Amino acid sequence: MDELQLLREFGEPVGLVGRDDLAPARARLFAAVSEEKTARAPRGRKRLAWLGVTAVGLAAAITAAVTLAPADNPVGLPVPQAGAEEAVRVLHAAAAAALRMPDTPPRPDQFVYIKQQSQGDYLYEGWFSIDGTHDGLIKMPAAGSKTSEETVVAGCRDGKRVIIGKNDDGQTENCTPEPAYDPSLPTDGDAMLAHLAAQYGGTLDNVNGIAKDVGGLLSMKYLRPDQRAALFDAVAKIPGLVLTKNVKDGAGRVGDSISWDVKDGKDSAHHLAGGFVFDPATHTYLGWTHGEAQTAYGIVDRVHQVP
Amino acid sequence: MSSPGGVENDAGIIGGSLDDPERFSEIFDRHAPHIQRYLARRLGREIADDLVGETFLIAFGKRHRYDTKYPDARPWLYGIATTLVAQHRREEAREYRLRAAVPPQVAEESHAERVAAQVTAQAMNGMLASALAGISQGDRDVLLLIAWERLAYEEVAAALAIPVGTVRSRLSRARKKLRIALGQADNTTSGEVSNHG
Repeated sequence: MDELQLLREFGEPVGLVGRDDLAPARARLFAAVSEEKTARAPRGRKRLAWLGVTAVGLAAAITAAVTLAPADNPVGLPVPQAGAEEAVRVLHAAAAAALRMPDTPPRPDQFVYIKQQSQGDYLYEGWFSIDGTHDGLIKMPAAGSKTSEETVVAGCRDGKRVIIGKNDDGQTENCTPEPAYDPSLPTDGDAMLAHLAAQYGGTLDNVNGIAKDVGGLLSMKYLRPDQRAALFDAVAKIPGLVLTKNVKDGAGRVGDSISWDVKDGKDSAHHLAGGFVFDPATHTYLGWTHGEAQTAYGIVDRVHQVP
Repeated sequence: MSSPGGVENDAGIIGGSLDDPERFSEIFDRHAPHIQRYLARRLGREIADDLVGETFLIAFGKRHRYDTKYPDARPWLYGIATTLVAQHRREEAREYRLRAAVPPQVAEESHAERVAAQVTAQAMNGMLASALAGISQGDRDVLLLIAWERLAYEEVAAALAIPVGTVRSRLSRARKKLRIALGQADNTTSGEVSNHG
């Protein structure tokens, strides 16, 4: 047997993966394709910077690709109408509304169900394992199509996760569970703010990054009412807040949008594209302005079940 | 996308994607599984899952510069992926060591034979892992694109933007190093690994 044959046998155990495994990469390409199409539109916005996905989980990659992409001052956004004071008031009302939500601690074997709708009837549904050890699911359109595709988010058990889509032969990889619910998340605004800033050296300089993290908590995780209230209280403490009224979310619902004017060190302040939208009457969280609308959210016992 | 004459080649799809960006997803569907596997073989599953997306994002961004006289986009994509691999040398060496540490599947009948074969194969894989890590990056790129990905010399040359002559010389140098590494091992381990050369 020659050395090339030995080398081939050394490489052979690594097989081809299936469509499910490639879904995050496809979603990233799809996002870039969509950006280019948008940029070509007559009143297109500036090309968005993809803030790299590195070692994130499957669900994170998919969600990040289709949801959070704040950009600087795209053309056609409503002009901010009110300053920080009004924005803080809306956020405090949102925190109070969160505290009125039913509070039942989720069981480890349950799932948080999140349904989102984007412009163009782009539907996304996710079931994420509360303790990260059960198999979750994401339903979203295939790249370049409106046909829905299901991707299993393999749970991580005993440090191993089944590699989904590879002939279902039970092959595993090493992993760390990614729970959808973190009971240790802070329940007061100051502690939550410190938690958010900890990702960025303890500072609030990277508002863009923090806004994405907040969006990630709202669109992929389950927060109990006091945690959710703490999150809105924390957001209220981030400098540069602006309020824009009568903004539509991805489902066409009208609400108040919270965003930021930030200084990037070179130019004068610019406005972050998009914002968190709240119902003007009930102050519940509706979604992200020109990303997606959150149309359902709750705890369920199994995937495919809706609240 | 099909045409009356058959399946459209990559160059046609990439050309079409200049006006209709969505068409580039056909290139992804066609080649992503193999590019992912190549990356997984060199860097492990986790990094590969990330870098396969990176590879196609880069390709999408550079598609205006694709030379449509090449009907098959594989060498181009392998070239981009290989550039990304080069940024992860440490992870690459670790991946080979990890793979060598996993007992290989063998077909022998009896338990004793199976154990012996596993020991043999595992020893061999350990030597291969060390040998691979010791080969220079450029030589290793050529060796693995040929051995694992079955690219032709001309395709490797296109992927790495080097002359075919350089492909040949790099391959021959890499093979020699492998042979030496495995041959030396013959003298230091039991006879069970000595029947390959």
